[in-house]
Amino acid sequence: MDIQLKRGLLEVAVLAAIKNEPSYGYQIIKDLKPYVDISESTLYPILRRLESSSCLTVESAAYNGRLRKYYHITPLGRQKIQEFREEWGQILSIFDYIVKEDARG
Amino acid sequence: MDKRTFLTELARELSMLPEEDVRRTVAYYEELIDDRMEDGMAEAEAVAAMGTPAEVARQYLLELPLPALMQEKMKTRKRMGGISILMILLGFPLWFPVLISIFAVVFSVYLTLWAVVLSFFAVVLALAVGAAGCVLAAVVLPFAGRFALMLTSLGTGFGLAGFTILFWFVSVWSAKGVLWLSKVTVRGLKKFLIRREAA
Repeated sequence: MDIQLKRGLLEVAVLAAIKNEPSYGYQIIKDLKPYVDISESTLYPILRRLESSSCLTVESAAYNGRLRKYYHITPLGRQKIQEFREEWGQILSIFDYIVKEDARG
Repeated sequence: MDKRTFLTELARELSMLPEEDVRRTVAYYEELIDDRMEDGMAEAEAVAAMGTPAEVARQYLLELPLPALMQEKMKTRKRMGGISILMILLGFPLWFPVLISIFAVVFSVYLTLWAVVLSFFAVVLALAVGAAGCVLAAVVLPFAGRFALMLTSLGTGFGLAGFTILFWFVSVWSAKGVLWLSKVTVRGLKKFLIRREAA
């Protein structure tokens, strides 16, 4: 897959993973696993980028005697998901057309 | 490799970055290693799942925007001796003009590339205008009774139109080429900066 495309996709996927409740690194990776194999080192720059673009915030919480970072989505992050859905809605309808025409021939 | 060693190595690979950055990155990987171990993985396995410290550092550094990367390379965590600072200051009239001229040359080459692209587009415009002019003349000429000239004009017009289209593709292709070249250069520059640091 095109690198830029994959990067964009993963960013929104991570936002989706934290949309309904805050989550932490390892959990995000597990949540995305059925759909895309993302490694810790791939996830980290994505989390940093989303934070610097104000799509999420980070909070440390105690867990089992150690500190765990929880990622919370922001309104801007929710908006990003929305924009993604709209853009890909269009892409998918074109995709459907292509598949339909391809199947016909 | 055990967790302590991995994290220490990672911190070392990232030592050019600000302390806060290093701390956060190391904390992130420590957390994820701990999570994997809690899930039942052995420490060595969990650490191995991250990749080598060098790979991990590299992947993070590559994502940094180029200016940030260059900034960090300029800052050095090692305290510079007074002699070194003095020598740099003294040598300023020497290395500064050289640096400036290198940048000037690179920049002007880059600008020239774009000037070439622009001139291609100018050719497209000229051809298009020429084509339009010829076709227009062909429309008007019959009224002056110049039928043979009308045909010539029409033919020339279509010929020019054809070249317009051809040159359009050449212009667009060259513009994309320069853009691609810029991107590749930036990536290459980043990789070069990162490799030098890891060495």
